[in-house]
Amino acid sequence: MTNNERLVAAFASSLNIEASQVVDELEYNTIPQWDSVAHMVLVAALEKEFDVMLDMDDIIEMSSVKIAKEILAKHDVAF
Amino acid sequence: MRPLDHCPSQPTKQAVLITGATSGIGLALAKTLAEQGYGVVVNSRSEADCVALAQSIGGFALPFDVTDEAALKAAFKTLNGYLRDNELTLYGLAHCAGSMLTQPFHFTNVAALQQMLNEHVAGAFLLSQWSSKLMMREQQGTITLLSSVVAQQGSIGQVAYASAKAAIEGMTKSLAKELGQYGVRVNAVAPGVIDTPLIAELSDEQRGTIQKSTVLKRLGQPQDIAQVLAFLLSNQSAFMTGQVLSVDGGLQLP
Repeated sequence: MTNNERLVAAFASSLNIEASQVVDELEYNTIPQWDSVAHMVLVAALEKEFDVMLDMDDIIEMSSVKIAKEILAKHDVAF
Repeated sequence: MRPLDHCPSQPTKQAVLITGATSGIGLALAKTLAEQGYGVVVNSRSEADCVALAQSIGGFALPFDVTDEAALKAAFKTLNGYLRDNELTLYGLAHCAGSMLTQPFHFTNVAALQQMLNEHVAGAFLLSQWSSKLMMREQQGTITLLSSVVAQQGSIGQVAYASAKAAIEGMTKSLAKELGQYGVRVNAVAPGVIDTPLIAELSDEQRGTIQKSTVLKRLGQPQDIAQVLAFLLSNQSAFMTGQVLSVDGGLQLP
């Protein structure tokens, strides 16, 4: 799997949505499934999948799929 | 029964991070959990003490100062690598680090109060934040914090210390409510007077007075607290969260 596929799978599983919904433009709190509770499930899933430890600032800042990729890139995960 | 034998969705092996592990209650807990088969990650500010303890009980040394946020953050990144390399998951946190300030109220400045809050409250806050993120990966984990009998009863000369310990109890209940949905339990123990280096300066007369005021007529031993912490960390307390258990030999009884 590519890193992008792994990210999409983590989003889809954590938010309980279809993989096709995981696009760069998808933003936090714009669908009922991506609320604050699911956000932390997502963070845990991304940390586990990519073996990183996200800072609290990263967690707060991670407000879209696009920004999630940018944050993971800071932790040497290439997309 | 060993803890590894009776946990649901059993990870390969469970690790528990113990702060303040090189003396007093933390040391007793580290030895107890190592004997029970947990992967024990021991923390203190002293690298030498930490390494020596880790070698003696077969654990992993993770020295850092719990009041130093940058050091704590770096330590958790080290811990993440250790867990990954050893196929462990972080199952438990026991925050036992922290000093006790005994000083008349009017001799206590804000810096001293802030130090108590940093060690006990900010330390517990950050440790819980980083630990719970690791626990949420497996949807299970237990956090145990240390309160004190003075959180509920107060104590002359311990306004700063008691304030910090009272905050721990509010934190315990709020964390329990917020983290329960992720499978993480949070509890605390409120020890009475325990025979640790924290009370080394008490005179024999003061010790005698405390013993007489305790229903069981003795000071507590670190092992008395370690056993309860081990219970709260284990799956034997799987339906307990948000609780503060008094372990004080009956000191609080009217």
